[in-house]
Amino acid sequence: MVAMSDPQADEYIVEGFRPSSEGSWRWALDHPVLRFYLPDSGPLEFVMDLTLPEQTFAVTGPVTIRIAVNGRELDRMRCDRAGAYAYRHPVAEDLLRRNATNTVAVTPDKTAPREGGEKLGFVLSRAGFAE
Amino acid sequence: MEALAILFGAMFTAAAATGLGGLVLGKSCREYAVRFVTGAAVLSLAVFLLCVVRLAYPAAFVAVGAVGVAGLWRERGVLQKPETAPAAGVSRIEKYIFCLIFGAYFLLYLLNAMAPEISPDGSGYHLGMVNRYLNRHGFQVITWDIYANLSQGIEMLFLFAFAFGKHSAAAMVHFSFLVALVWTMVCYGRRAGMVRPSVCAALLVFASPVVGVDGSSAYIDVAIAAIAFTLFYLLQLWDGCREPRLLLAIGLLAGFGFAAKYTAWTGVVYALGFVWWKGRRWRDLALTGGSAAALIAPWLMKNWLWLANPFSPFLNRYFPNPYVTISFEEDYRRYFTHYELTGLGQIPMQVTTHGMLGGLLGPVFLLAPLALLALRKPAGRQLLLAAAVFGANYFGNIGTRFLIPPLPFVALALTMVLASIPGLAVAVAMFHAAISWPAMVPRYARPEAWRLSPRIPWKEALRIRPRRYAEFYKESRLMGYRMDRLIEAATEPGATVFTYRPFPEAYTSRRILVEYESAENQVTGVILRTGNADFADYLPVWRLRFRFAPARLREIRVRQTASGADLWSIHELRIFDGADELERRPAWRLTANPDPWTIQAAFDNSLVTFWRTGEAIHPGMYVEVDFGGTETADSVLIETAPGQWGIRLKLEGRDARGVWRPLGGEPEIGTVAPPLGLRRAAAEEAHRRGVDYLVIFDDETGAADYRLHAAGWGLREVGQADRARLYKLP
Repeated sequence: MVAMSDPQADEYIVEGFRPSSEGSWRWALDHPVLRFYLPDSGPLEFVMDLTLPEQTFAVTGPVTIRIAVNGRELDRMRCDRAGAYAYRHPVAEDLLRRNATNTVAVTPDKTAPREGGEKLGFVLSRAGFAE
Repeated sequence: MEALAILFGAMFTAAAATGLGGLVLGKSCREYAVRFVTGAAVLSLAVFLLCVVRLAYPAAFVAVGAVGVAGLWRERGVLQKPETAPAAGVSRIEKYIFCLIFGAYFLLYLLNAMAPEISPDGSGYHLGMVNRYLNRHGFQVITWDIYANLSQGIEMLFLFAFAFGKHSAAAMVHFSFLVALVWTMVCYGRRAGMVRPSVCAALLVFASPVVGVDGSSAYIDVAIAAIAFTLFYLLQLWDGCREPRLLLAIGLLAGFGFAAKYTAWTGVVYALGFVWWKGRRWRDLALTGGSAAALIAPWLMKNWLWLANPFSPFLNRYFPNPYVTISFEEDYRRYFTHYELTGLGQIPMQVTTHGMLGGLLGPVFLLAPLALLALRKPAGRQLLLAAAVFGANYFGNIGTRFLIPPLPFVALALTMVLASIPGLAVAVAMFHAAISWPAMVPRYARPEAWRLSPRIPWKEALRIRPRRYAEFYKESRLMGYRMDRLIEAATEPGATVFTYRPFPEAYTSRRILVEYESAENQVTGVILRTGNADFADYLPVWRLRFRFAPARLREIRVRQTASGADLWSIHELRIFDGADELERRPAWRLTANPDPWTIQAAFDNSLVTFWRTGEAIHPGMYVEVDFGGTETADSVLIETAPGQWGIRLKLEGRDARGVWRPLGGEPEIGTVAPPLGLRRAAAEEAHRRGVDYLVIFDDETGAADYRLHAAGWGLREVGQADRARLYKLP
């Protein structure tokens, strides 16, 4: 589990995020990917606290976020309104690689373009796996 | 057949002890009861030696017992007939009534002793250890159970009887001590010219509810009382005749008291002091002390060799060892000085009438302060001195049964005083006998008081249709017995079961690790809690980071500077040079104060293991890493659990010149999310530490986490019994 306020948050980010956090949150862009080392444990859920800000929702409208673990789709999360979301979804064991690094892509279907070509997706507070 | 085996086991033990006592005492004392208790000391020592050399087999016991029985047989024509009838000196009507009352209680206790053993400590550690010793034909080094560290002089006799008649035979041996005690009290009264008071005192003791339940169980308190009173009796006898052979017996008994229970050490001082005060002869003192040492030294040596502490599980501050922590000892002592009482003024009513301190003496013992009037007489002063000697340790454990050893002396002094009013002593004794009968006790005692059931278990005692009655008796009366049966059926031989709560170990052949019973069990218990989400204070989510200017260092030391009630623990200690953690090399030397034995656990890359102080924090505690060379470092990270809010840590380093200096200031303190896989890691570590199964009671804190996340733990539920679940570890 990584919180964007964690000084070591960069170690969990593969790509697709702004370079730094804004305190306790960080902008996810158009192809955000995270990585997590998963030891042996019991059944896991993927957990994510995110926000769809008003300013991007005004551009994109409702957004669907595709969540894929190690390249295989886990779920599609529908965000119909601006605001905060607490997401939680069980992860089948066959999607996971135990005692290894696992990647999780959380790709929004729509983004809000900004100057300089940056595409803002949503704001992430924390994400990861929980038992 | 089982009933016959029980009787044989008990009677053979008693006969062997009596015979051996005769060899010691010769003609100096011919009372059977005194010979029994004296010979029990010798028999206990013999069994101890057999256990040391791992020859604790029934055949060996038969050989030892045959020596005693042969001695008894040889003297059958020499021994006087039993003393004049116990009620000699009382009226004919009183004699019949006393015989009836004594007889009724005798039968009551006999049947309860023969019934399946269901007492808490008897079916727990007393016979649990005995069962283990018999299975292994002797002692083994036991570091996981504090009760194995106690002196076990009476358990040696239990072992002797258990080999033939199992649990009930052992209880019958303890009952034999009760019979010997009251018989010796009457013999004392006959010699002292106070027959009626002694018979009344014997009845006060015999009918006392806590004496009855204790004396008909595989406990040891009544045996201590018998040893104490027999010692007193022989001292009085020696004072009159100065027969040297009596000093040998006196020394054996004084030592046997300590061998039976540490708290009887006062008897050794008493015996030596009495012998010196009365005789002032070094030879007498040497004989007494030497024979006492013969019984005391073996137990001390056993503990010293195996546990590094001759007085284990006590005095750990003076004999540091990895088996029993100072904090546990202090908590243990603290609890037994108060139990759940809010004030010591509650003790008199609790120990005499309500019974919430583990049994009741009987309401008539509220008259005990009257015994002080016996100080007017020499015999009274002797009795009350003995009562003070054997009651001196009472406030170390205020349980009612810890008043049993001084009880005979108090009872005798009391009846001496009551006897000054005609009929009063008899009336009080008979009143006590009437209200102490098991069916009467519930009318004034608390329901939870430890006492005999109003129902006399005669069918269970005689093992009539044993499978139906005896098993049902144990299942219905002994909490945890069903779990024992489940463990025996569902686990493999040699399996180890961990539990946070004790249950009857005497009925299982598996090794039972009870959380509080040793330092290593306590660590296992905390490891399991580390993975349990219901114990937030045990999750290793605390991060304390010291930052300092990069330095070349030969050693680093984390010093704890505060005082308080917390225990200081470290799950992992990591040293960094920038973003790179220093590799832990074989050349590193790790030390800690206190508890250096477990410091490696803070460097094993596992968040479920930890180093922890075994005592409350105080200045002077530290963890130190000697690199065996020099390393460059600029930060130290401590990964640990919260729940130690009182600690104050300072970091120091020794530079290349060998100078110690502070490194940085206060640590940055933060928390992280609970790492994944803690449940599985905790379960695997517990298994690595030798645990095969877990017993978790449904009402325990954390029970739901095991049940609901069994897959995460890697646990497999094997069965349920007694509102508990048995899990197999991964």
